[in-house]
Amino acid sequence: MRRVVAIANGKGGVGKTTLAAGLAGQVAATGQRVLIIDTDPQGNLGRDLGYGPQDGSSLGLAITHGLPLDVIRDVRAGLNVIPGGPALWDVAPAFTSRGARGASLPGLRPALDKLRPTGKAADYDLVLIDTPPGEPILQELVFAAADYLIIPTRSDDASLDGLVVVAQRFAAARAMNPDLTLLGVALFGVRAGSTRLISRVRSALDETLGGAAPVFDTSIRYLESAAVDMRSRGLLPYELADLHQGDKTRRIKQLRKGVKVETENSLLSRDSSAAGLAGDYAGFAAEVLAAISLQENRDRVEVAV
Amino acid sequence: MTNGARPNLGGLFNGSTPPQRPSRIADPVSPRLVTTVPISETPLPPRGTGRPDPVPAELSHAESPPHSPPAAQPLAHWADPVGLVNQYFGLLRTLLDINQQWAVACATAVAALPRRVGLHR
Repeated sequence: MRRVVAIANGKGGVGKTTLAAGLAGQVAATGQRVLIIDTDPQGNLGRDLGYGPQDGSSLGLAITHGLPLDVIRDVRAGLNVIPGGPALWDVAPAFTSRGARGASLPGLRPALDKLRPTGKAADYDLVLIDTPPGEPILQELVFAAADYLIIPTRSDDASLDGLVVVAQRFAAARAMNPDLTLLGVALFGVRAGSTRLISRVRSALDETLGGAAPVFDTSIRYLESAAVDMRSRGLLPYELADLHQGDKTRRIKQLRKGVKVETENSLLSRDSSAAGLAGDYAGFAAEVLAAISLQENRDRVEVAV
Repeated sequence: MTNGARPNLGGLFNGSTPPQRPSRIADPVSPRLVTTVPISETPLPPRGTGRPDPVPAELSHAESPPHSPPAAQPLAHWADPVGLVNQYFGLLRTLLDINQQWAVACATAVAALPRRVGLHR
């Protein structure tokens, strides 16, 4: 069964792309087949996953003309990507101008339905879609094609305003896609150990959501040094933790041999913080998969009744 | 996050509260015919209401022809020139859209040829 999960917030800078990349990598690392789609014209996902700059024209033409999607295969084991890029700036004007004179455009769902990771029988276990914050049409196109939504948010009031924006777009998209379900809200970019702040933000989010969906138990900590290390090297959190581990082993060996320890290309982050961040993503991925399974079980029960 | 009144978004997420505005991508599902209001159906201002007569004063008396036709005769829809022009250009736009889709599909297929035959990765 395919699960299409959109990651969206009406505000920029709340960690959508970083969260999407980290989640996709983490799930793929467990042996599942994952596809991640970047619908952001800025195409920042390439920095997180370490593939080169792309123009996003394949995705743009699939949405506006129904052409088949080009997939970058095996960015990591089991992880494929449909890249974004500047060509996606043309999607919203195409919808506006052609929609105004009554023409219809294919949108994202028909292209997604044709996608397969390998062969004819196989299917993706998880499809993640990263969305741009300031492009309402692109975001609504994603909502029309998705099964679930995850909203990342930070702890400030401006992020809450973004939640209101995305709630309006979500409700509008349900007219076309009534099965779209809010899977949960993810708290991103909080300082590790700030339990009082996290507790206060959680209760505020619970109040705002009114019981419609939970706030995920796992918060993703934000570490500037780790973020710089990951984006400059195209590493995912668990890869950064592995790199730290390898780096530590290498330095110990150099010290034993009496060789001067190289520090030129050393990492900015500390190994303990990288390990903590990787742990956050592992916990978050487990929670997301559990939430999807729970939702699917609920749907099955409803169908049976 | 400051304390204070918070919006309750539960209704928007569970479908019990309608959105403030409909989706921007929901409307265009099929070609629409642009309908125009025939000029003849535009209501004329009632006469004798104290407002100046649009007809010049020197023509508003005896000089005006006794059996002049009404200023606006209702026209049949098929004879509405504005409607015909709009329909004609609507047809042209639809044909152009189809042409564009076909041409872009061909161009994309041609662009993908070198990679398919293994010249590029």
